Amino acid sequence: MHIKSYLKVWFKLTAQQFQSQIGNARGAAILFILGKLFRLGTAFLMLYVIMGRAKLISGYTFEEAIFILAIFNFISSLTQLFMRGIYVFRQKVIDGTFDFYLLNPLSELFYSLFSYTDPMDALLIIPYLGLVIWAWLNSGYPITFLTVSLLMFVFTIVGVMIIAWHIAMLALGIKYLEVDNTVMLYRDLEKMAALPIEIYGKFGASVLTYVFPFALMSVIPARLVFGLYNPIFIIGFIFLALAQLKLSLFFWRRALRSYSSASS
Amino acid sequence: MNKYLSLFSITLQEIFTYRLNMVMWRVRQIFVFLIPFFIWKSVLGGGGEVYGYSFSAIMTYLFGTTVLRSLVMGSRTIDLGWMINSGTLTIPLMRPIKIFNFFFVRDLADKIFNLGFMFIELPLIYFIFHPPVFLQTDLLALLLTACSVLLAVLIYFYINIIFGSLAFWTRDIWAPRFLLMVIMEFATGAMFPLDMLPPIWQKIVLMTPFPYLLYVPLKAYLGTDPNISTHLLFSLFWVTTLGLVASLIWKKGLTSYEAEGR
Repeated sequence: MHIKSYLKVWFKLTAQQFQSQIGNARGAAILFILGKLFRLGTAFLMLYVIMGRAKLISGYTFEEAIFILAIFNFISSLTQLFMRGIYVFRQKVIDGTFDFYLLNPLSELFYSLFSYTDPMDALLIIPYLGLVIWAWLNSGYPITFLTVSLLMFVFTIVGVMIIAWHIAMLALGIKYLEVDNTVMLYRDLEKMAALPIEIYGKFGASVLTYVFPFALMSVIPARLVFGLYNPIFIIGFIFLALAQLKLSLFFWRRALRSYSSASS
Repeated sequence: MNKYLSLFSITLQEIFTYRLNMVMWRVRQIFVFLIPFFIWKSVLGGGGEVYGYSFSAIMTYLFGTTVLRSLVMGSRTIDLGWMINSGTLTIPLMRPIKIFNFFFVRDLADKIFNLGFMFIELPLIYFIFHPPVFLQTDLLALLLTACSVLLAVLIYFYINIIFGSLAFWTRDIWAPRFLLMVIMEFATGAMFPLDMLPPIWQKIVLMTPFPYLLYVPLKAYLGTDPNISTHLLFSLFWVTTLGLVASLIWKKGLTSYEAEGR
């Protein structure tokens, strides 16, 4: 019953967002899409420039590195598509809109995170998925039902971990108001997973795997496809994801206690 | 002069108001260096050269981009679009101060703030990761670098004025700025030195103002740009052209300014 209400509200909010974009910001949406495609293009170009001469990066071939980048890009874009609310959260706290989120019968976290889904962004998800499939085939590894199921399972765990981190950032937003650079720092760290994380050394790779969800967004799914990762280890990540979610909810509740609604 | 000093000091106080944000900004600047450092270490750490760059040369380039980003691309003028849309621009417009000077002094404060922290962060990075960095001792190369950096600061300032002024006509200034940011990340040579690109691409990119922000000053420092005098002339050309365009757009924009929100 609850899920149905959330879905209904989400569809309504997304439709409104779409209407607003069509009405007010068609040009802006096109510029955003162009910017994202350009950024992806330059990321591939960088790989090409480096690997055109180096041939192997941390033991991965050019085709394998392309596959890692394609998976990373797909998951990163998918999560940003749904959790765009984090970028405007500061403004909502400052101008008092957050008070309305608190008064709503649905969770204030739902409004804070998911109320700004950008339908224009969704247009890019399909070609991004196409890119993953192309890179997968290009890397020479077969697409099987088992690997696809395993990847779906991994992506579910990643989803939980990413939500947990976003909740933690929202909590910081309530406590310190200025959270923009924290979000951008998270994105900078996320970008580290666009390349094989082994290049960051044992410590760096461990942080990106066990503290942040970034390895699960790219290298671990890729290694599952390449047959270099034992699927049993994924079970450990279920517990890690649940622990992170619980911890972030704890921070969120604590942050809410310090919210003074000073702006409204 | 006193009014500019006050403005300088107020801008610094503004930066220090939101401390968490400030700290996170500085941490981000460290990661800007660390990510490419690890990438190139995995490629060149074992020795050899790629596109004529040794590990030492590429590390110097990266170290240089980190310093120059703070110096050239540290800016408060990026707030201009927001100031126009929120009507906050009215306040500096009413003050007895030239508006471009107002923005430039704020930019200088931001640059000094960034540079101050760089003096703490760079030695820290150096002592932890020991990147092999080349120190230029040729006075001519250092002089050319200083000229190139000065011109780069002005180019970036005018680019920001032009893009910020778009807010006189549209509320959606974030999208063109995002596109500019993405293009600059590549075309300034921040991702990798532009001479790693095929020659035709290099020529195309060098026709835009962006390589004159980071790539040209760094090549001047490394002393490896055979066309440095031509590139400095191009920098001067861009400063003049962008300066003129910025003044024209600004004058035209002010006629449409409605101080909405005030």
